[in-house]
Amino acid sequence: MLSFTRQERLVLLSLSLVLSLGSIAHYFIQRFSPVRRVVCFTEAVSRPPRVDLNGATPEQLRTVPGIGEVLARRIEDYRREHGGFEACADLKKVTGIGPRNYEYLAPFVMIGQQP
Amino acid sequence: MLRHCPFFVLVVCFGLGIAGQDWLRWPIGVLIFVSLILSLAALVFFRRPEVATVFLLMGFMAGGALYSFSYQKFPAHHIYYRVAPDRRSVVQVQGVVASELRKKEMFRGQKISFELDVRGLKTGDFEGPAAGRILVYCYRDPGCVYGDEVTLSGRLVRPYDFSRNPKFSYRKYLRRRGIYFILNVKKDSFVRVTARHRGHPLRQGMVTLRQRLRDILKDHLSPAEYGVMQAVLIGDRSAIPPALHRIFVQTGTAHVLAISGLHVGIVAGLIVVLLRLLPVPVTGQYLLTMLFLAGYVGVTGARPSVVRAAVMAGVFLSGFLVERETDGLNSLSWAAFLILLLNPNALFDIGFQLSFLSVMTIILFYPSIVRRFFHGAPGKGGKAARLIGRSFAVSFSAWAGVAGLIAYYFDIVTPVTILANLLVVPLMTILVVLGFGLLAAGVIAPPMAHTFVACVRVLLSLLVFGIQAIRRIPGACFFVRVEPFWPILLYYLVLSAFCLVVSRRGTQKGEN
Repeated sequence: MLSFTRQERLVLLSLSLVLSLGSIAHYFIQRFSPVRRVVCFTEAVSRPPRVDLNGATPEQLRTVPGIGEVLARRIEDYRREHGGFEACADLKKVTGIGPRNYEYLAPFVMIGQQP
Repeated sequence: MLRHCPFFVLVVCFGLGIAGQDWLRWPIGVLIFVSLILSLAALVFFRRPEVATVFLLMGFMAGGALYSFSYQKFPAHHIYYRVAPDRRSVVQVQGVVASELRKKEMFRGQKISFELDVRGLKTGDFEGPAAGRILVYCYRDPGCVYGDEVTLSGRLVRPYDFSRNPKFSYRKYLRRRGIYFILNVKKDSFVRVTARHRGHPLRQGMVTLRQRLRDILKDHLSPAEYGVMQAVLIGDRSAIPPALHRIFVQTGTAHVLAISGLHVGIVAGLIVVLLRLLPVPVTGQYLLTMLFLAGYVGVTGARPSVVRAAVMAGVFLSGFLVERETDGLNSLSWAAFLILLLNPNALFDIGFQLSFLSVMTIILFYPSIVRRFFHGAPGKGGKAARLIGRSFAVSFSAWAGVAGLIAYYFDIVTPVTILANLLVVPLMTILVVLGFGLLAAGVIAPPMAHTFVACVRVLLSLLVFGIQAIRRIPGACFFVRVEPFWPILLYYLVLSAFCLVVSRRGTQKGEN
């Protein structure tokens, strides 16, 4: 008579649960885009939000990929000297951020609520 | 407690010696003199236990200082003595790639960094053999992997400190890993691979396996999912998106992203369960488990938290083999002693401090908290309450142990950690199991991998959603600025006193 030990039952049960639940989840994720949007929550959260150049603290500025402590300090200095940024393109005037670097940073910054 | 855990006290004294030497920087003559005097005193007063104990402990302290001093002494042909770093002159270095290559996207192109075991050096004044390890920043593709012998030209500089935060010094951090120079290799610099497979064969195998596991994860997961699963399965946190990492930090749950006791325990459990399916005797199961754990430590890069957990697991399993009871504090002390013998500078690694402190406070506080508050009522409701209570006790004990250091190093206090861990730890446990299932499916049965991927995707989204919701709780975390260390020292003195009281009450209850 076929019988499984406790460990065998545990492993087989876990495997069958993963196979069945995983297949169901895979089907729904592939088939229905709202489900895919919900389930891809991790990706959505991982995208850094745009940072307001005039309102962000140095810690918030450092959340932008490519802006470290030194650049954040320079942006703050620029804000203090010039009364803020009038447009995102003014970022090019900060020491250490040229036209090419600005292209890299542009998707992550905004002025007020406007990119 | 101290009577029953003498090794713990010895290791603490050894660690104090290492810390003392880092602060006082006594010359070798003084260290040898002090060690000899203390050893002689211990011998003279051998028949008086209390006095001999004091001298033995002080001798261990001096031994720690002496060991730390000798560990950091270099041979005469070390690169530290051969060259004075000069940004203007180009040097040529020959050596063996001693670590995996790390790629980082920069504004213009990419930067590839790796450690190099130096074998030869050519400067304006010197040409010949050299030793030591340097960090290489290469701004072109060097075309090499771990174990390759390469010749590079570039400018040698001392590591620089960008941060204004005095608690984090990049130069000190590298120095404690034995790295005193950085070699900057520009796009147009000379790079040539002269030989392959010169690294340690075992390490070469680990690196190859690590890359294979990375490829399986990358093939099946999205970038953010890949970053998290790579961190919790093979110990590489470089690909975790910063925004996601910040959520974990602000809820005090970043510890689940580093491989430690939780992950090693899961791996050990999985191995034992799988081995029980095979006709292997019990002794063989435990021995094989210890062997696989040692391999896992190698694959994950042998960070202090992993080594600590693996040594403790090894001691625990050995206890079964030799039919002896294991003591948590003694096992922890063995792990600390081993790591400090391998590298005394590990004492100053933040990961080492957090890992050992958290486990120590769990061992000391958890039994008393459970005994006092969570005996629970009989019946199913009582069982569930006891389980939640025990989880709370572990979470609170660990948080109490590391809160001071986290406030000092990271300027953040996260009271919500205790609640967040009740959600994160069980979910992360299931995620780790599914992650290993994904890796196994990726190797053995690739068509099955999509089922594991779907489960990982759903659970990870649930986990991230949960901790994001927890982060929004008022008072979840707040930022502090702890500049001098004395408030933290005071916090730990109070905690230690509380610890002694709790442990003494526990001992008295046991004797009654």
